[in-house]
Amino acid sequence: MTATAASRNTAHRDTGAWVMRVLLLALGAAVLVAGISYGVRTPDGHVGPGMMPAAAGAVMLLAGAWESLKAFRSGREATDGDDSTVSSGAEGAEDEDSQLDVFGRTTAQRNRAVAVVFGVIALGVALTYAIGLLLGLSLMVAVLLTFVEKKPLWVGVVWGAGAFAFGYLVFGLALNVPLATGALGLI
Amino acid sequence: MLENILLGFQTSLTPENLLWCFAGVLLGTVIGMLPGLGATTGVAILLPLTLTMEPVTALIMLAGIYYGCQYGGTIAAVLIATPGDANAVATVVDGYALARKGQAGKALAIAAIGSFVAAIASLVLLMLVAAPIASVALKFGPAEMLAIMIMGLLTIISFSGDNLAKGLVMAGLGIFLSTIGMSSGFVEARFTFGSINLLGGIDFVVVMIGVFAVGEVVSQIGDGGVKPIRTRMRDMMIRGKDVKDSMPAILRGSGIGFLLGCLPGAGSTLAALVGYGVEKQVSPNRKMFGKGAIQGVASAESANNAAANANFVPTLALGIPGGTTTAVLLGAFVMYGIQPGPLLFDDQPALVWGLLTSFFIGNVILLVLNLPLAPAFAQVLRLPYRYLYPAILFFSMLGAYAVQNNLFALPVLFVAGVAGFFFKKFDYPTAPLILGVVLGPMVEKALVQTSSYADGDLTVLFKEPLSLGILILTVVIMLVPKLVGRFSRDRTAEAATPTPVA
Repeated sequence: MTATAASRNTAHRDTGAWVMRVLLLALGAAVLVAGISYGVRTPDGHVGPGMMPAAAGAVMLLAGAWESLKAFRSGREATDGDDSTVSSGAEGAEDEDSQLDVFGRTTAQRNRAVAVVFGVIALGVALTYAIGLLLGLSLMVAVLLTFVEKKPLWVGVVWGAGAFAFGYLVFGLALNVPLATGALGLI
Repeated sequence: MLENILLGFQTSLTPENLLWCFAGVLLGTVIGMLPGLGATTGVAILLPLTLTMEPVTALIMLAGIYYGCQYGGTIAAVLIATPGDANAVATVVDGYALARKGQAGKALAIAAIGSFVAAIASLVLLMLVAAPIASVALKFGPAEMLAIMIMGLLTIISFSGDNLAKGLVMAGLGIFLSTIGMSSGFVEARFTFGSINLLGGIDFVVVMIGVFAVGEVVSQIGDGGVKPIRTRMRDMMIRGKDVKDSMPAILRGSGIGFLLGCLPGAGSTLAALVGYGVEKQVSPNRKMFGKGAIQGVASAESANNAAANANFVPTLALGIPGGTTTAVLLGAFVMYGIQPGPLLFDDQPALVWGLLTSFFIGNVILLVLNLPLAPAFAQVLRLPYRYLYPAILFFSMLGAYAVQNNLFALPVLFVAGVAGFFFKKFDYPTAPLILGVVLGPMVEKALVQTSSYADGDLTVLFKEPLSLGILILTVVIMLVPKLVGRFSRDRTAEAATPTPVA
C-alpha cells in the first residue's frame, strides 16, 4: 500500500471518529430535550419521569462536547506539526497493512470481511421473521462459512445443520424455549 | 460465621451444584482462552441458558465461568501473546517472553499455582469482610443508598480507561437505554415511539450480548490473530525452586489484588497492572522483568485472581458491581428476582454462602484441571477462528431471543453489536455503558425514594453526614487507583520495551 493510501485510511478513520462524536452529541441533545418534556419534577416538587433521561442526556452532551474539544485540539496540534511525523505515520500504517493474519488476509480484506459479516447477520435477522428462528440463523451460519469464508459448500451445510440440531436440542427440547417459526410457520 | 460456611458447603456440595460448578469453570477456561470473548462475554452469552436453573445453581455456574476465564486468559496470553481476557494483559509481557524461550509450561504452571493461592487467600478475606460491610450498610436510608449508587456509577466510569469523557458519554448512554419503556416509579412510557415491544424496555442481557459478543467477535475478524506456540506435557514440569522464587510475588500480588478488587470499579485488569508494577520495583529478579521473569507472571496472575474474588465484596455487600463482569452477574441476580445488596446476607444466606463456598471448590477443580491439562486446553487455540465465530454468533443470537422469547431481541442485538463494534474501533469503553444499563433502574428507584423521603429536596444527599461521607469516599476512591494505575502503567511499559527475546 502506498503512503497516500495509508494517509487516506487515517483520514477515513478520523472522519469516522467525528461521525461517531456528532451522532452521540445529537443523541445526547435529543435525550435531554425529551427528558425535559417528560417533566424533570412533578407538580408537587418530587422527582419526575424526565429527571433520569434529562440527566443522562446532559451527561452525554457535556462529556461529548468535552471529548470533541479535546479531539479538535489534538487534531490541530497534529496538523501544526512537521511533515516528517505524517510520513513516518504513513510508513507505519503501510507496514501494518502489509501484515497478514494467520488466515493470510490483509488489513483491507479483513475490513471488508467485517462489513460483509454484518450484512449477513442483518440478513439472518430479517430471515428469522420470514422462515423462523432456527432456519434463519442456521442459514446465516452456512452462508458465513460458504460465501464469506470461502469454505466448500458441504462444510457450510454441515456446520449449518449442526447449528440447527444444537439449537433445537438445547433450546427447543432441553430448555423448552418456544422457537419462533416466522411468517411461513415452517419449523 | 462457621455456621454460614457449613450452610454454604451444604448448598455447594450437592451433586447438581457440583456438576454446574465443574461445567462453569471448564467453559470459563475455554472461553477465557479465546481472544475476543473473555469473562464478560462468556457470562453474557451463557446467561440465557441458566433461565430454567435454581438461582443458586445458575450463579455458581456463572461465577465459575468468571473465575475460570481468569485461568483460561493466561493460556492465550502466554502462548499467543493475546490476552484471552483483559485481566491477563500484564501476563503477556513476561509470559510470552518465557514461552519464546521454550518455558511456556513453567509460566502456565506458576500462573495456575499463583492463581490458586491468590483465590483461596482472597476468598478467606472476602468471607471475613463482606458480611460486616453488609451489616453496616443495613443501617443506610434512602439518601445513603442513593449515595452508594452514585459511588458505583462514578467510580466505574473513572476506571474505564484513560478517556474520562468517553466513559461519561457511555455511562450516559447506558442510563438513557435503561429509561426506555415503562418505569416502575411512574405511569408514563418513555422513548417507546408507540412500539409495544419497547414498553417493557430494552433487556440489558440483549444489549450485553450485542456489545460484548457480536461487537467483540466481529472486531476480532478485523484484528486477525497470531499463531499459537505449542506446549507439551513434559514442559509443564516446574522445579521446586521456581515455586519458592515465585511465592513472595504471589503473596504480594494477592494482597494488592484483594485491596484494589474491593474498590467498586477498580477491576482485575488494574490490579494485575499494579501487582506487576509493584513487583518490578521490589523483586530481586527485577532486571529480568520484560525478558521472561517468572515473578512477573506470578504477581500479575495472583493479583488479577485476588481482585476477581474481591470484586464480589461491593457486589454482594452493597449491590454495586466491582467490575464489568460482576455488573453482568449483578444483572443476573435481578433477572432471577433477587435484590443484591446488604439484605442479601440475611435474606438469602444459603445462596450467598453457597456461592462463596463454591469458589473454593471451583478453584480446586481449576488447579487440578490446569496443572496437567493446560497443553490439552491450548489445543482449542488451534481451532481456526473462521469456524468458531459463526457458531458464537448463532449461539449469541439464539440466547438473546431466549431471554424474552421475542424476535424483537434480534434487531436490538444487531444494533447493539454494530454499536459495540464501533465503540471498540473508536476506543469508547463499554464497561460504563453496561453499568449504566444495569444500575440505571436502581439509581432511579433510589432517587425517587430519596425524593419522597426528603419531600423533593435532593440536597439531603449533602446534609446527611453518612451520605456526605460516602460521596467524599467516592472522590477518594476515584482518585487513588487512578494515580496508582498511572504509576504502574508507566512501570509496565518500561518492562515491555526492552530488547526482544532471542
